[in-house]
Amino acid sequence: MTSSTPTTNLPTPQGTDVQPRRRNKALARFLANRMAVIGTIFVTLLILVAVFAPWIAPHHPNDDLFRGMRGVGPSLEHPMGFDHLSRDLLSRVIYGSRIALIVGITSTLISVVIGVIIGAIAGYFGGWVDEVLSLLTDALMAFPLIALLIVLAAVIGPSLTTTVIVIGATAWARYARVVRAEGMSVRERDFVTAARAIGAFDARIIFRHVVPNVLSSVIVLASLSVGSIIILESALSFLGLGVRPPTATWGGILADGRAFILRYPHIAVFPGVMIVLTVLAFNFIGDGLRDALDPHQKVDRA
Amino acid sequence: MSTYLTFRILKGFFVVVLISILTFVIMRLMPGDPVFLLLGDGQISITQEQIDAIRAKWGLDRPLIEQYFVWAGNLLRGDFGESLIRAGVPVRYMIAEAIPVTLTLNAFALALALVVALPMGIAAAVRRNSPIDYVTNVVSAFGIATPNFWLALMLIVIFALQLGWLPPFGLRTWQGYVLPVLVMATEEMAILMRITRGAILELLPQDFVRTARSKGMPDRRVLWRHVVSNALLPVVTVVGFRVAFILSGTIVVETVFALPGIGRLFVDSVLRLDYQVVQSLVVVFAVLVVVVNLLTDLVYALVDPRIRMS
Amino acid sequence: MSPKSKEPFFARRLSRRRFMKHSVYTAAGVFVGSQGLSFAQGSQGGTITWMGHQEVAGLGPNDIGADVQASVIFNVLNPLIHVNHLTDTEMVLARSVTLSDDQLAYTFELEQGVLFHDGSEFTAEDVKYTYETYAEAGNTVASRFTGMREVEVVDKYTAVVHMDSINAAFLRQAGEVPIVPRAYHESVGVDGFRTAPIGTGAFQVESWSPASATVLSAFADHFRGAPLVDTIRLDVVPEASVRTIALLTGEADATVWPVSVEDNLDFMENPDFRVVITNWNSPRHIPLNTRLPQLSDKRVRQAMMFALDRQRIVDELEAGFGTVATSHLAPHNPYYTSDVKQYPYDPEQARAVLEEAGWTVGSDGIREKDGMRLSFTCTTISGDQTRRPMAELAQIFLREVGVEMLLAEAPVASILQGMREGTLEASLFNWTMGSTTDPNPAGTIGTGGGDNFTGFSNPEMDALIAEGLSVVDPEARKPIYERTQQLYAEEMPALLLHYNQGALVFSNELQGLPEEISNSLPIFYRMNEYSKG
Repeated sequence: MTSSTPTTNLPTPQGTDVQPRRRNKALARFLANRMAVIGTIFVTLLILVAVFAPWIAPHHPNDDLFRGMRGVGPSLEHPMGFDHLSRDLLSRVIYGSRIALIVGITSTLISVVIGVIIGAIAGYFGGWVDEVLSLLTDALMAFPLIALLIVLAAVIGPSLTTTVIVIGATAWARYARVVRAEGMSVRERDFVTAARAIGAFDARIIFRHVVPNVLSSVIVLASLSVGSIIILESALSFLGLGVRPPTATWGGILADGRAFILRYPHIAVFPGVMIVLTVLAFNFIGDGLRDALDPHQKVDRA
Repeated sequence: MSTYLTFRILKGFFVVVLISILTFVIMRLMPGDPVFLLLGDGQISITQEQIDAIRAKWGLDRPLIEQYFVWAGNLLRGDFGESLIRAGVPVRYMIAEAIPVTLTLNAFALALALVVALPMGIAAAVRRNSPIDYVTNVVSAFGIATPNFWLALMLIVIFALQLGWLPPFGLRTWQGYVLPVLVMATEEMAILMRITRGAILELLPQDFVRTARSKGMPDRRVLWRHVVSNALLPVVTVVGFRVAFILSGTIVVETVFALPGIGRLFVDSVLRLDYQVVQSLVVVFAVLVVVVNLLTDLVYALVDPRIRMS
Repeated sequence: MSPKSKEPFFARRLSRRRFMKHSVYTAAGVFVGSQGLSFAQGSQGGTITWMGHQEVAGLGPNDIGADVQASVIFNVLNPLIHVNHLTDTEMVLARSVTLSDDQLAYTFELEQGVLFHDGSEFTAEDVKYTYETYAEAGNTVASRFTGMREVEVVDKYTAVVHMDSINAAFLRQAGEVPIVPRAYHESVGVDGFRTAPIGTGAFQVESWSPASATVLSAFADHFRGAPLVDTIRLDVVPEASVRTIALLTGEADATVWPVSVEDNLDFMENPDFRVVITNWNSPRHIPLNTRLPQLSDKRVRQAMMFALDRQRIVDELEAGFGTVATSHLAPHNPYYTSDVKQYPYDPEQARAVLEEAGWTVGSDGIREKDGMRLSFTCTTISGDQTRRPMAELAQIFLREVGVEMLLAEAPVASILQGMREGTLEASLFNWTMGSTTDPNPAGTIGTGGGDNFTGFSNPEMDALIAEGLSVVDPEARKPIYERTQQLYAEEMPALLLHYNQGALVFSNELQGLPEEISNSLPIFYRMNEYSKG
């Protein structure tokens, strides 16, 4: 699969000095993309909602029980109705945005950091280091992610931390691949050979020359993966291996709601809609970033 | 080429070994003891003697390293062992029974996805920023953004309950395949659409396309001769790459539609601590992924000689 | 929040479907009616389909512990006796059973001329072989034979079971273990048998796909006559809502594992279905690991009982089906008494008891004592959508009085081991408290008992249990077991929630069901008596 690594932009001789101009142009291109802008606005709003959830939510998401209101549908005072424990669904969905963003963004960050480090080391040093790390990457790629998550969640016991760390620690392979290719190409270049000859540190070379060059492809990949991780969290909840109750998570509410899909369909509908919208928003941002950062660049979404 | 091949096969073998060790260790880390499940729902009392007897029968009382080597050795000889829970049934049998279900579903889903995704992806790229491009984008975005169990339940409610056209579960008739295939194809389609569109967009401005056009070749012919055939390559790669996702895609779908495939076998076995089944399934899948990846790379190398060097 | 919003979302469309369905049935009814006479005797043909939630992992005597499996197995294999749908002992392969005066010998007179599916005749040798084979350690059903020494074959149709010690539950426990044909079983072994069983049942296995469907076809030479239908089939459908839809669309005729409470309510209003409601033998409860320092004081456990609004759990999560539990034995248990310490919902009382026990409210609202927080984790079964919400409600009630109950999920196998060995802190399930007949106090509430999931250990209790087991006469034993219940309610090693009721849904297409039903699972053991409308 090494060969399917996305081709990154052609190497620029000095690595950094063309960046500012390119960045401005990229920003203009991004802003011209209507869907990307809408996506950004949505995500920004969502972040605000998540941060200010205690002030926005009309009720406590876990503790406020409304006697006899189990599964009652939407009304003016309770726009999303009540869940199966007679809690205000809107408040739970609002608090759920926190978990969606924490899981989506934190796990992505963790996997980006691991992936970039491993990929850069493998590509830059080559040789047996590369062989070992590639073997690990390949093994991880060949291990179905959800299977690993199921087993790990069952071993460690499901919780927010488990979910975030497990997803983060297993989703890095794709970043490692992208970065590795870049590391290989940088290693061959004259200025690196020269730098090494005069005793520059490898780490410095990696961070000065390898990482900046792959950043754009990594950012695009990462923004697209936030969405798929949010979906993954809901699949884990479906299997009873998600974040622990009573914490409100969209995936969890959706999974609980499926038992009542005939009587109280709103319980499953609202979090479902939120998941779809959020994932859409992140994907639009990702697409926008890809087009903006390099209109010709191909990034495997899979 | 043959050294490259040997090297790749060797590497693939190590990947599988690594995965088998990993799975073995993780499964044993899982708290709990399958013995308790064998004893039933706990309505009746159990004695330590009974537990010991069951453990001994399955070799669960031996050292872990020994258990691993016994298992790995048997595996090399094609013996997957016996299921703890479905005692008396060889794991080989269980997998052989479940694989056709999953593969059939995936084959249909992939075929459907390709049939829809390729033309739409091509059309979207050629007519960039046209209505068809927008439709393609929106459809593929929704395909990726919809949790599949939600979609599955909604489809069952609509097509089985309200319209009464299709059965709500099972594969007794061909109608049973419709909904699960549809759900699985949705995500596949969304991804393939994007890849196709992206690949063609990337090819259109390239020199050989321009040359062909400047030589007076009709647009349609340029598109088919040069662009689409070249764009198929990344599509093939992604299809190969998606093999690793077969399991994740089917776990949920098979649970909702009550289908006896690999995905459900896997989850059920994890939750019941049926070590032999989980370990064997993961290894079978790892082999599958490694082989498919090798094949895609070979296809690539054959088509594009520049890559052959690695 | 208009009253309308409580109405089911799909109600209108459904009722139209229902109407259509009615008209179709009426037409079909006329058709069947005109042909009815010629079919009145013997097989009427057709297929009965019912659904379970878990796979059928095996079809042997060791597999009867799980409801879904039992519903299939008892149509293929027959036991000597059954506890039937009225919770009565019913003779199956035994014609009669007599117990010796010293209660150490059971004499079974057997049915004569009964054939196995392979044509061989059922005799006392098969009884001896089955009982002695499955009593060996390593078999799931082994403990049902506790106290048995050997089986003596008196003649072809008489078997005597000799006991080493008295086991009041023996008849109902061991008697239910289905009989296997000796010659065939010896050739295939225990594991081979459970994949390809041969029995005396009204149906024989036609195909078995554990995770999807088990299909059985009629055995014409069944000793009680050929079944009324040709085929019966169990489908495995894990999702509760999909089971509901399959019942509504006519894809299946019954479900052996319940659908959601809400869907049950819909079925109860639906003239096409019959909902059978029965009492479970063991209350829903939260077993507490009493070995933990924060849970070892009985006052803490009592306070938690006062803190739980258990009626509300019944009302909101069980739609009112069930009653608040007072004893660990169910009201229909012959030894049950309501004369025990009561715990009405009273948060004030709960706080007072906790204060008295020295637990004071800490800075985060959770009580503390000597630097220890009053906190523990309740681990529910992965994917248990019925009981987990109960834990969620309990969590809120407990927090009100300053007790923190965290929630987690784990597979059944992990929970059983964790609770048994004391590595888990609490759970929520129905296991173990009592069977339909004799409670098993030594195993469940005695020190070191195999199913003592709370680690409960009380010398007075142990003495009472020993005394109870030595008294043969049930009437004489009753006061002793009443005392154990009082002691249990005082100590509360598990938070008793409620006696719940199980509801199973049957389509009216299925005809010939018993009128009265108090024990629902055995309805599925007599598929040969039903016909398809």
